[in-house]
Amino acid sequence: MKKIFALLLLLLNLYSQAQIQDLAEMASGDLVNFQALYDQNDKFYGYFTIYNQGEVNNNFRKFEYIILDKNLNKVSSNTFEGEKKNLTYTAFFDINGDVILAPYLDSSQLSIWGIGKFVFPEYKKIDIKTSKVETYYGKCYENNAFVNCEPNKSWRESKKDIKAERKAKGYIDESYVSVLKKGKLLVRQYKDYDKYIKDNVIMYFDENEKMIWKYDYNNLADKKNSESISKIDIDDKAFYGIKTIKQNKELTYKLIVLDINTGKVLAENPITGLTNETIQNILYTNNSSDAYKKIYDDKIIIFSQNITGSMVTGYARMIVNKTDFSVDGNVIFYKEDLKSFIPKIDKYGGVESGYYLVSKDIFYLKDGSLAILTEKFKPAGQYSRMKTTDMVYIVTDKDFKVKEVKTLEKEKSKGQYTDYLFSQYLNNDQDVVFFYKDFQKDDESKDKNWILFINTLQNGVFKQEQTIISSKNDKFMIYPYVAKEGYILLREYNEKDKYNQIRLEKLNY
Amino acid sequence: MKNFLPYLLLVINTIAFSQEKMVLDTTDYPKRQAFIKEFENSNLQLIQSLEKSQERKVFKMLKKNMEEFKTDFSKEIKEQNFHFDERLETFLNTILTEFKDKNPEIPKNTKVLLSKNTNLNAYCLPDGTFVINLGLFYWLENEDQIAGVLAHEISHKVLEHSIKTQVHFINDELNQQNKNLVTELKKQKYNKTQKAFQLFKNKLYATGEMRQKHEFEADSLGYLFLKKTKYNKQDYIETLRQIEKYDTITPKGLSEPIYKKIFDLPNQAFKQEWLKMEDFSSYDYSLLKEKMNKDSISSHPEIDARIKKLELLYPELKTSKSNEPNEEFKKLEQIAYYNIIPNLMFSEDYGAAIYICLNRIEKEKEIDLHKKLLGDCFQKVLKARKEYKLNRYLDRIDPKNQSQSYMQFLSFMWNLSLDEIKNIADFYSK
Repeated sequence: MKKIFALLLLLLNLYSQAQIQDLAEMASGDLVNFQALYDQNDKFYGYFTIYNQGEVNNNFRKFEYIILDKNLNKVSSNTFEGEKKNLTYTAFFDINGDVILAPYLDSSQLSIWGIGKFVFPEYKKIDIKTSKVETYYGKCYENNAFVNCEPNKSWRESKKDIKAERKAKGYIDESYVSVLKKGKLLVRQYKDYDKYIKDNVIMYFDENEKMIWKYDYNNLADKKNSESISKIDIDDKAFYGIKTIKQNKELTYKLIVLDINTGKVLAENPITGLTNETIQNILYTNNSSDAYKKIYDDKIIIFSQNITGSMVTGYARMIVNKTDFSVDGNVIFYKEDLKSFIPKIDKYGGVESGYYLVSKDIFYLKDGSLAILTEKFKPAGQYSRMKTTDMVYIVTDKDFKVKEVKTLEKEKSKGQYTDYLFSQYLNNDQDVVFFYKDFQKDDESKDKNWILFINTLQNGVFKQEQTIISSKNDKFMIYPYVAKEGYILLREYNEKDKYNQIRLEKLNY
Repeated sequence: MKNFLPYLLLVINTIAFSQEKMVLDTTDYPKRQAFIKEFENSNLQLIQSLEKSQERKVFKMLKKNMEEFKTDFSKEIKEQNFHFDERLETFLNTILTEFKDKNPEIPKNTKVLLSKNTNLNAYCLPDGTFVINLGLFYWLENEDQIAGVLAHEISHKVLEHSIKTQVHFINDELNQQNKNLVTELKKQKYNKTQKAFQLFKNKLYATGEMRQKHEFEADSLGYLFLKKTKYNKQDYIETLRQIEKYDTITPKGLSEPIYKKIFDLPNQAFKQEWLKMEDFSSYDYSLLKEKMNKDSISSHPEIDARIKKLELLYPELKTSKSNEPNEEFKKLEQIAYYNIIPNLMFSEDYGAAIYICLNRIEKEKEIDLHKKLLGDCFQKVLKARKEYKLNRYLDRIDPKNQSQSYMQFLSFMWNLSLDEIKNIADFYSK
C-alpha cells in the first residue's frame, strides 16, 4: 500500500547515514540461508531463514533462525550457538514434527583442523512447540536398547575404536535406526567383517520401543556369497525392500515384502526387465535420496537412468504393485524409442552438435505414467563454456511407452548449468507445474530480458504461460522460488521502492 | 490495511448531493506546478536560514538532507499524489488563517497541502507545509477536529521539531565518541552482532523517546493555539479518541451473504468453494517474540497517555463534548466519501477498494455506482493476475493480524481463477 510519510522518508534518509547503517548491518548479521520447509508429510509448511551473527568465542558462532508460515508471516525465531565450522544450516522436518538443522561445513575449517582431527559438527533440533534449539544426537540402538547417539568423533578416534573392536571380536557391530511415522522404529543391524557383512537383522519396534518382530538373514555369508536388503518403503501393511543376492560373485535382485505385524515374508519376487547395472543405480539413488521415487498407497514407482554395460542408454522405471507384490521393470531406449520424436538422437542421448539430454525433473502421475523433463546440455570444452538450449519434455503412458515429446525452445545459455528452476505437484498429485527461465531478446525493443516460463500439465493437457522477470529499462529483477501449492514466490528488486518486495502469486492454471 | 478502515464505520449524512459535484478537480497542472515552485522556494529559504543558525559541519549535512528531501517530495507532487481542489483547500486555509490571526508566533509562510492518502494522518514538513490526508475528512467528525489536528502540526513547526530531530541525528553521526565506538565494534572479533544490536536498539529507543516527547509538546502547545481560536476546545480530546479508535480496529463487517449476492452472475453461478478459508491451524504464532519493544521505538506515545497528560495540564478538557458538523464540513465529508475508492485505486490498493465497494453495496449505498467501481477494480485485478503481480495490490492472509471478515475476503479473492475474475470484471464493467 502506498504510504507517503514524507517525514518518515526524511528520517529514513538520516538512518541511512553511514554510522547508523553500519550498526544496523552489524546488528542483523549475514543472511546465510533462505529455503522452503516441508513438513513430515511432505506438505509445504513455510520458509526457514537463518542469519550468521558472528563469532562468540574461538569455537562457536551465533545464529538466528526465523521460521515463516506459508504466507511469509513470522511464526517463530530464536538464537543459538553453533560450531564455527558451520557456514550455515539447512532445515528439514523430522518424522516427529521437529525441525532438524543439518550443518553446512565451512570447508576452510577442514584444512585448519586437518582431516584426522576434524570432528564433523553436530546437528541441531528446533522444538517447534517452544522454539528452543538444542543439539540433536538422534537415536542409536546399542546392547538391545535405544540410546541417544554419542557425540561425533574425529576420523582418527573413530578409526582407533573400529580397530580395537575388530581386534577384539573379529568384526564390528553396525546398526542404523530409522524413526518412522507415529513413533515406530526400524533398526537394521549387521556384523561388518571388513570384506563382507553377515548376520543381518531387521527389527521393527512400536512407539514404546517394544520389539514387534525381527527378521534375520545373511547368516551364512562369506566373501563370495552374501545377501543385503535395501528398504524402499514401509507402510501400515508391509516393509518393502530390494534384496541383493550374491552367489559366487554373481548378483541377482528380488523384491522382498515383510508383513508389518509379524515380519513374515509375504513375497520374494524376482525383478525382471532391468539390467543389473540399472538396479544397482536404483539402489544407489534410493539410499541417498527420495527424489527418484514416488510412493502411493497402491504402488511404488522408481525412476532411473537405463544403464547398459557402463553407458547410459535411456530411462528405466521400476514399479512395485503393493496389492499383489509384483514388480516390473520397463525401459525407454534413447535411439529406439525416441528417434521418431527426436530424429538426431543417438543411443547415448546425444542430440546435436555435442549437446545431449540431461534429466532435470521427473513427474510421477497416479496411473503410473510419468513425464521426464530434460534439457539439452553441452559440457564445457577446453576453450568453451558449458551451454544449454531447449527443454525437452518426454511424456510416457502407464506402460512407460513414449506418448509425446515436446520441445520447448529456449535461447542458448552459456556458462550456466541449467535454466530449469523447480516444480510442484497440484490437485492432490494429479497434475504438475514446472518452471524454467530464458534470457530472450524482445522483438520490439531488442533488449534482452529474463522470461519465466510456467508450464502446467493438468488432466494430461500441457499449457504454457510466460511472464517477464527482468527489465533493464524498468530496472527490476525478479527471482522466483517455490511456494505453497498453486503459488509461486517472486522476490522483486525494483528501482521503485514500493515494488521492492517479496510476493506470493497465484498460478493461472 | 488500515488506510481503508474508516470508511467502513463512518455513517455518512444522507444529504443529497449530486455526484458530479463530488468529483475532485484533476485539471490541476498549473496549481501543482505553482505549488512545487513555492515549496522549492520555501525550502531554499529554510536552508538559507539554517546556515546562520547551525554549525558549519551540521549545516553541510542538513543542507544535503534537505535538498534530497526537496527533490523527492517535489517528485511526489509531480506524480499527482495530492489534491488541489479549491473547496477543500479553501476550507483548510480558512482554518490555518484563523490560527495565524489569533497566534502571531505562527510563521506567516506556512501552508497546507491535501494528500490523496486515505489514512487518518497528517504531518508537518520542515519548511512549514502541513500535509493533511483526505482521510481526515472521513474519520473526523467536524471542522473543530480538523482544526485540532492542524493545531498539533502547527506546533511541530513552531517548536521546529523536524529540524531538531535532524540535528539530533547529525550530531549523533558527527560525535567522535560514537564514531570511535562503531570503529572499535567493527574491529571486534567476538559478539560484534549482539553489541551492535544493543547499541542500535539504544539509539532507536532514544529516538523514540525524543519523538514521543515532541508529540506531548505539540499536543500541549497545539491546545494553547486552539484555545485562542473560534474552534471547540472540547473536540481536541475527541480528535485523539478518534485516532485511538482508528488505530485499534481491523476491517470487519462484510458478511458472507454479500458474496453470493454480488458474485452469483447469469453466466457464472456462485461457487461455495470460493469462500473456502486457508488453514493456518498448524502454526503457533504465540511463540514469536519481537526483538524490540514496539512502544519504545514508536514515534508516537499511546493515545491514552496523551489524553491523560492533556487533562492533567488543562483540567477543562476533562469534560469533552463534540460539536455537530456544520453544513460545509458535511459537504466535504461527502466529497471525501466519494473519493475513497478512486483514491485507493490511484494508490493501487485494489483489494481495499473492492472490500469497501462490497461493504457499501451491502449497506445499500449508491449500489449502481459501487458496482461500476467494482467492475473497474476487478479489471485491474484481472490484469495484475495475468501479469503475476496481484500480491502488489491485494494482501496475503496474515492470521495474527487480520479479522475473520478480512481473511474471508482475501480467501475469496485468492480462490478465484483467472477466468472467474474475467467474468466478474466483464459483468460489472458493462
